[in-house]
Amino acid sequence: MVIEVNAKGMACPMPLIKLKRALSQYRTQDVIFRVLMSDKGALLDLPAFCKQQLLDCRLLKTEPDIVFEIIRRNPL
Amino acid sequence: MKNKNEPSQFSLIQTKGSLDWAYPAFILASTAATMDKEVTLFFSFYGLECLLKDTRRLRVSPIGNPAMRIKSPVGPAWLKAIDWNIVLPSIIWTLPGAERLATWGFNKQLEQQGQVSIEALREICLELGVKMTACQMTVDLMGYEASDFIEGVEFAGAATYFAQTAESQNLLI
Repeated sequence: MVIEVNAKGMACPMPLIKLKRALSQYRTQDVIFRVLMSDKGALLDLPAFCKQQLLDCRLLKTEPDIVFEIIRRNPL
Repeated sequence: MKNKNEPSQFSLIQTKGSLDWAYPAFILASTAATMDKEVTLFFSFYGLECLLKDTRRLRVSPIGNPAMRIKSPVGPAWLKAIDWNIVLPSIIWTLPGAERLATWGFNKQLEQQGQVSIEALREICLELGVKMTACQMTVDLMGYEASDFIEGVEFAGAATYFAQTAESQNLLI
């Protein structure tokens, strides 16, 4: 299942909070989250968050929007 | 999902009551909570303003703040480029309405940046389980009523705060 998290135009800390909400909403499934955003600060912040949360995170593109793909396996 | 290598607690002491002091505290708190840290904010003295239902006193002031860039959030590019804190003498900011104008500009810029309102950010913190404690001594000292504060705030003293935050305390300065 692919879930799109659209945080375009949002400033820190909202992209992270939107992703967190999506993560807890789909707590029980294997999910791929596609996160769209424009906040440049999140380019480093999102991978840092994913590393701390033990999530696989991949940067797909940075133009025109920043898109990350986050894969969560073995959900709680 | 807690990473055992990370500290599990984050706490902050907020003693300032202006808008530009309120934002960093709530941004740091909400981010830390998102990362599964146990977050405690302790509000004392003017910091109590951050917890009131009525947020009209949360403002920004250019007085005594030479680092503040004051730029018009509206108008043509040449106008937006002017830093009024450099162009105008400081005495201007003592005029009636100047602080309100600076606050309006600050809020407008935050909005254009995609930042949420301070009320919304505070609500998000509570949703994420951030614990907010208002210092009872200063609540009494400054003459606030319990009913002035938003729902979800606890009233206690410094000892309670220290007991809740064994690992670390930070003063936002």
